[in-house]
Amino acid sequence: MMNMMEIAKAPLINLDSKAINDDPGPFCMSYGFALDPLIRSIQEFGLINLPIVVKGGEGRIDVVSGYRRILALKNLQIGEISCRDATGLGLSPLRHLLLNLHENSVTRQFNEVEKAMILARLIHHIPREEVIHSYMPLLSLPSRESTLDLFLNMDGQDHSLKSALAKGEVSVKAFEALLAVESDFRTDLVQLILNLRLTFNQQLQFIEMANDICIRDGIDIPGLFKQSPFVEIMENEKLNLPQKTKGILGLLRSVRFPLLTRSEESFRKAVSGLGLSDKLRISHPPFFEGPDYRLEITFGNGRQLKDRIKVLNNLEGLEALADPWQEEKR
Amino acid sequence: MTGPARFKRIRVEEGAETYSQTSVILGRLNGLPVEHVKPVQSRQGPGALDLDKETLRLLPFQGEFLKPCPGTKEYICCGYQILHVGTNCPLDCSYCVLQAYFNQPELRVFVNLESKLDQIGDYIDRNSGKLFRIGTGEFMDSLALESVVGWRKLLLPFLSNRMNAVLELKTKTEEVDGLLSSPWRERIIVSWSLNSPSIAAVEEKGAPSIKKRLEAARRCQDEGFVVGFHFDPLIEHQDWKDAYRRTVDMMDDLINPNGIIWISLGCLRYMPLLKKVIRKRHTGSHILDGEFILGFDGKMRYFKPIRVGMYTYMSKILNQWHDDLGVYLCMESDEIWQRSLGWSPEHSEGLSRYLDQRAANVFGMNY
Ligand code: SF4
Repeated sequence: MMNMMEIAKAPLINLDSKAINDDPGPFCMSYGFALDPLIRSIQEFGLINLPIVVKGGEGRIDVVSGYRRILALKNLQIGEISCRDATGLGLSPLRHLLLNLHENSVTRQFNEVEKAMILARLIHHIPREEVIHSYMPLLSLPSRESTLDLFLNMDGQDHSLKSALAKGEVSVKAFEALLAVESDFRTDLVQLILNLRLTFNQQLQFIEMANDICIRDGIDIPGLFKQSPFVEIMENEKLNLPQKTKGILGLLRSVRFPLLTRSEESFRKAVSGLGLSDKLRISHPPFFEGPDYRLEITFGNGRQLKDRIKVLNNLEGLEALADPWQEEKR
Repeated sequence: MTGPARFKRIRVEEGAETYSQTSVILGRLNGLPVEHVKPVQSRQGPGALDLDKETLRLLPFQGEFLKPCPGTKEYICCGYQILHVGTNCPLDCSYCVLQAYFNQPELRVFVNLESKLDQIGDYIDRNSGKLFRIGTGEFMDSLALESVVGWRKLLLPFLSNRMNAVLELKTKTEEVDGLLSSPWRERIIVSWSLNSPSIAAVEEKGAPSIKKRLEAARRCQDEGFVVGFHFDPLIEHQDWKDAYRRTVDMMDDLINPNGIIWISLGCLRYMPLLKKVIRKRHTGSHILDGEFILGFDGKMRYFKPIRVGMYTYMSKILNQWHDDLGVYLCMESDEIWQRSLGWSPEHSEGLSRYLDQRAANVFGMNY
């Protein structure tokens, strides 16, 4: 158990704010937060809880608790910051880390990047097994090896990707799909995802299709989206954002699945060429995988049903409806 | 000699020491470091995508050794019986389904097989009206570890006493010396997974070339073995028609078609979760380039006309070579059978009957 009374007994020191690093260091776990509310609170009420620090080697000062407060004070250009110095208390680095973790977990939810930071720090001190089974549930993560590896990977990613993850603009599943993309081009995709405001479902499809096409065609992500059909959609001023999103996703799908999309399109054209009323619908099985097409008749009574069957029976060109592709001859 | 395997260590699981196969294998791999370890349910450790093919784990298997191939009701299954002698494989094919089971790494050999053979034999004997087509190649290559484990010494005599069972050893290797030196031939089928020469070179790491596989098949034929072939997975790639034709041309050069019991065709299919493993473990691979859709069995498979096109072409060039090769499709629908081969066994029982009949004809069995 952490002895909080002892922490409270840690001596007070005044530190030159410049001596304290801007990055969170080995014990803190804050990422992608808004500093303004804290700045305003400090301006109005002053600093209520003092940060806790420890002195590391070579004059380094590591923040154990109060990282955001220190950033806020620096932002207010406070030259000297009062802190509690826990160096002499003899607590292990793991204790410092847990102190920060517990202090934060009782007051707020962690975003995905912060969870990744926590796991990346814990793994230095605690066996994987214990991290998986004791700490991942605390972070509302499933106790799985693969999830741990995914989050450990997140910690080392580029800032723009982490920022989108922290804000919930990019899903963890999309992040996982992004790992299959060459690391140099992940930020390009993230930027497009943000520009097109893709839903989580669309993000996954978008990343997978773009990456598949690039691997298949031996091009890179910027090369793909520089191709004229993509540029035309993106730069078309007559299209609003949802139309552009739909256009880009549709185009990606037709490049990724040319035969399937052509088949869907010719089938759609063949059916619409029949001029059926909206009471009669003909559809193909999902991906044409099943053997049978489907006819739906909407009717109010037997009379109507008979009439509609009669219409179908007399329909010109119905017998020409067939698979929309040519098959190899045996 | 360890065949294609390059072992660096052996792990003997608690309970495995008591089986004689353990001492036989340790004797063959004398000199390698041996660790005695507790059983693990699943791997815990970093690098979950590392299948650790350099470690041989000897362990007793607690489950059923002989089980029907799970199949699925949506597609026609061949009704094969899997003899589960171990898992994982020293080769490293980019499409290998075993990569999805990376929580069970290492090459695992079940050393208690011998002690279970009586039980398996009883079961086969009790069902004398049924023909058992048994294979060991579902969770590993049947021959890749033969020189280390020597399964033939257990399985071939075991089979020789059973008139209602055939054993199919499926491989991509040329590890046939052990088999050739054995006296058993009856009801043994040695079969090779084939592909185009370019797919074999790029996507089947560690496996011999198609020519070498066929030369090994030829040696087996010359020594009186019945052989089979499996074009599985068929992969759509650049100039795939010419590429697969080259393989069939090599078969024509090296193999006597009259001694072939069957040839299966199966287009690439994979569990969706395998995609990220393939992307990570085989960065240069192009096997995922095609147009895959979600099949009825939850696996990704080529869009129907692509599959029909590949099967039609393959059956055409195989039939041009010889008209009685027992060509069948692996896990496909009645519709695809009809469209590609012009006939269909209609359902799994029908395909089982067809293959049983071929086995019965080739080995002179009464079924
Ligand atoms: S030979 Fe079979 S079991 Fe071995 S790696 Fe290739 S696909 Fe997997």
